[in-house]
Amino acid sequence: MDTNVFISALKSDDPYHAEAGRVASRLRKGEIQAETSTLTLLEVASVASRLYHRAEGSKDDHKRKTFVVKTLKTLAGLGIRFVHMSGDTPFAVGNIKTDMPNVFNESILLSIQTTLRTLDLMHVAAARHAKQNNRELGAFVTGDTELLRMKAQLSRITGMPFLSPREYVIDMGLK
Amino acid sequence: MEILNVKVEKDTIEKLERLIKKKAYKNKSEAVRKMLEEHFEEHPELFGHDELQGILREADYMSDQQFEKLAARVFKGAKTAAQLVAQGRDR
Repeated sequence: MDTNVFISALKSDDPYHAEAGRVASRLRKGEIQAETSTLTLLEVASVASRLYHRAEGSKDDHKRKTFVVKTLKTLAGLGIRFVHMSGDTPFAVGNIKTDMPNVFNESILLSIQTTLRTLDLMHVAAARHAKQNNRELGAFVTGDTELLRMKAQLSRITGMPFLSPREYVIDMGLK
Repeated sequence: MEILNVKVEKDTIEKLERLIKKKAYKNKSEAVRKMLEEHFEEHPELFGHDELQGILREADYMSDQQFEKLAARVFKGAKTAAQLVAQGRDR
């Protein structure tokens, strides 16, 4: 599950709000399961903080912080599993010899296969890792048009289809 | 203002007295007071945990309905959720 699905569920004027809301409701009831990168926590906090500042101004910084924490608690209430690629692996190219976090190492390998940007690479690396550890994961759900445009290639890499929230809801028969 | 009795090394007293002679501070009391204030200002992380606990409590007091109403206002706008997240991904 990509970060934007969780934001869509909170954004009442989003084109995928209805579908993301259905997904969130089923997750909350434990009727479906989802996994997402730990990076999602960071992205949700960042979007909540930036948009609160834009919408409400900087007059009450304490309220902004409370909003960010409440947004994260709401995300936690969905019962999603957060994918963390723990540990370091040695990386050696030419004179570069260093240990680096596994997620960076995997993302570098993906950067050779695709033209994705840094944070997209990290999400896809986490998705591939999650699929390798949980064969039951059926799809990567995202509202991101750039990722969906590359879905054939990314599906091959991760071993699961890339679906929009609408396609996922139809596919799963979520009403 | 309150009074604070603090034991310090002789060397520290001498350094303070040198600063007072150089007119950096009016007296030892003002010197210590200003140094403490500057240190607290430069290191807000010292109080970060207390603040976080307070924020966590306040987030708990906010009902889901209050949050949904506020979130609808905050997230409202022309950009889609995917575009908002993509902005943070340098796109």
